[in-house]
Amino acid sequence: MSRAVLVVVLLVATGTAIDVDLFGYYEPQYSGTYAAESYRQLMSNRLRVDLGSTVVSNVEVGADFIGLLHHGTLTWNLLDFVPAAVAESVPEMLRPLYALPFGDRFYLGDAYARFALRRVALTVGKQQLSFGTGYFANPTDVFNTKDALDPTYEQPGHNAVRLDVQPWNRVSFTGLLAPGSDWETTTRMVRAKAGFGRFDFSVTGAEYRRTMTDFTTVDTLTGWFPQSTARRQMVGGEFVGQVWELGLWAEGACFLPGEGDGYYEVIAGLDHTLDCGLYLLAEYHRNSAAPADWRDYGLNDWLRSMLGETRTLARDQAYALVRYQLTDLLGVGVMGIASANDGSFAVVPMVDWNVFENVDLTLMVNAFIGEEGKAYGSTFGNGGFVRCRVWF
Amino acid sequence: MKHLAILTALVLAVALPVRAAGDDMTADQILDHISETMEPEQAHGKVRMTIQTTTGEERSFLYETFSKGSGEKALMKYLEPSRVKGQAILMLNDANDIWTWFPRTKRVRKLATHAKKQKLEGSDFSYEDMGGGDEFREEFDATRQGDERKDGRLCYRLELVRHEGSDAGYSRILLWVDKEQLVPLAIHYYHDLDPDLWEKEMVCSDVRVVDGIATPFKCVMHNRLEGTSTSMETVEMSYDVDLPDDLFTELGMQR
Repeated sequence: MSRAVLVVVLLVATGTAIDVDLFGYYEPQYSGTYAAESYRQLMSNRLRVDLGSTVVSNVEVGADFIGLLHHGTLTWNLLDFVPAAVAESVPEMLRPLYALPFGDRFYLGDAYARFALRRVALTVGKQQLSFGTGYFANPTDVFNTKDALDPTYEQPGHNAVRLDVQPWNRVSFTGLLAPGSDWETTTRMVRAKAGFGRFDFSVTGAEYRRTMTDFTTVDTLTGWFPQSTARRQMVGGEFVGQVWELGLWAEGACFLPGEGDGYYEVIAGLDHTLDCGLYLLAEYHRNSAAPADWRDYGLNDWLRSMLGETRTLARDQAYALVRYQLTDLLGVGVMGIASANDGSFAVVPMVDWNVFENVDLTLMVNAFIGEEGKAYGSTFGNGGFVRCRVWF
Repeated sequence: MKHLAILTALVLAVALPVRAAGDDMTADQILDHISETMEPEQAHGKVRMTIQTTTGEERSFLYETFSKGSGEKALMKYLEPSRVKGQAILMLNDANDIWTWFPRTKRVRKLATHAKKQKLEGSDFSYEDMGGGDEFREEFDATRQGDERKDGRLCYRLELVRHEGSDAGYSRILLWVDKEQLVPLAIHYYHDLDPDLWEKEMVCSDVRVVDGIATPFKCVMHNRLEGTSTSMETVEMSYDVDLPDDLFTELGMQR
């Protein structure tokens, strides 16, 4: 804690002493969920302090320090959110192992240097890596797994060396290395992108190490769930564009068989804004690695999808988003997420309010409507959050 | 999104080379002149947009704008406020291809042009409000009416009536153009469905000559139906610039 305070003080002192931009936000959040016949609440205070400098020509240095404090229910047992029939397979004495703690955290979210010439940029350090055209999920993104209930929230930074080359307008190439402990565990990625008419197209190839946890057994030596890693190769492609006034995009990835079974993921979507300003978006997502029948969802399927090791629990999902700017400063919307395999779905109404010049308030409510055991079943309970973000 | 596209159009559309006017000009000739000269080859400036909401609150945004090819390429970067600082919007092919850049997530997203219909940040401008001479000529029939004074300046008064079958968002437009500098000083927009319902009024003022081009440094759009207004004030503007083509690319957005 004292070290974290010291870092903030140093950031501020450094920023004021030399030509450095200091900005960021403070974000308190209240979350509540009624599930397993009890109401739990979790509050957080998140402070992000960004530091940016372009004092050296063609060089940008950026970093952000994040302090995250939690209070309320600080331990959530994941078994409370899986169907009873699945949770019952876990012996009572092992249940504490499934507890997910929410501890205080202080860390550098990003810290990087970017060397840029007119058509070449090299970024070195812990940085944001976001790929793909999908809104709710990105199959070609081997670094991040979006939360479908909050898909635009920031992702963690990743240590990497990234080279972007743009030899011609609307044509670019990206090469990326995310070092692991050795070459075998290093993620390698190449990407080519080109624009034709009203469309942008990309192809991506990646080789990376994927870690999976087996939640059905416990390693007697470590007292923890055993993890296995496998070298995976992914080839993918995507496009985004429009036909008449309809926005269209699709993104697909094929994970080649090797140290694991082969599978594919694809997401396709469209959007449109009506003359009255109502925004409509719909996406369909298939993950062939997920069970096709909801009765086959096992403990690993549930927990891996909850923790982001897999992108979805169900094989086929449909997403929808409707948004409308109700007044100058107030926007309303609703998201719908459905499993096409079992018919369960979640409804997520939301409100965005720009309270003051640099103060945003977001209210989001989630209701899981489906039988217990299905992907968006009642086991998840109902809840929501209120999030305030004060920018500085 | 929408207001940024409009902003570019506004900044460029109302910047007209100073020329001698003639009393004998017809409505079409005046519009032709606006069409031919409304967009300088290159421009770089900063503009502050201030929105006044129905409750009297204000929201202010400061942008840096770049344009090239008479508006064919445009790049806009938010400088203020903090919550949008660093975000950028690239528009190519006369804003038919649009990309946005979000610095916190380092993500580039291509938007379909329907996004221009979204009312973002509460601006009172719609995209076609500043469509300018080309759109006026293509979508409306123009007639010259008696000259009138606006803000003390002698102006041509033009009435534009929407063509049959046009999908323009206004049924009728009244336009006052400064006779000396040929700069639009006021535009009245009438409702899509009712040519007698006065919906919006734009007033431009503080005309200064920058690099030989007459440029109104302030324009205010009043929405008479919603009781809101949006002002755009030019903070800096230069037309004598040489902007590199690679500025108008994804990497250029990120600089």
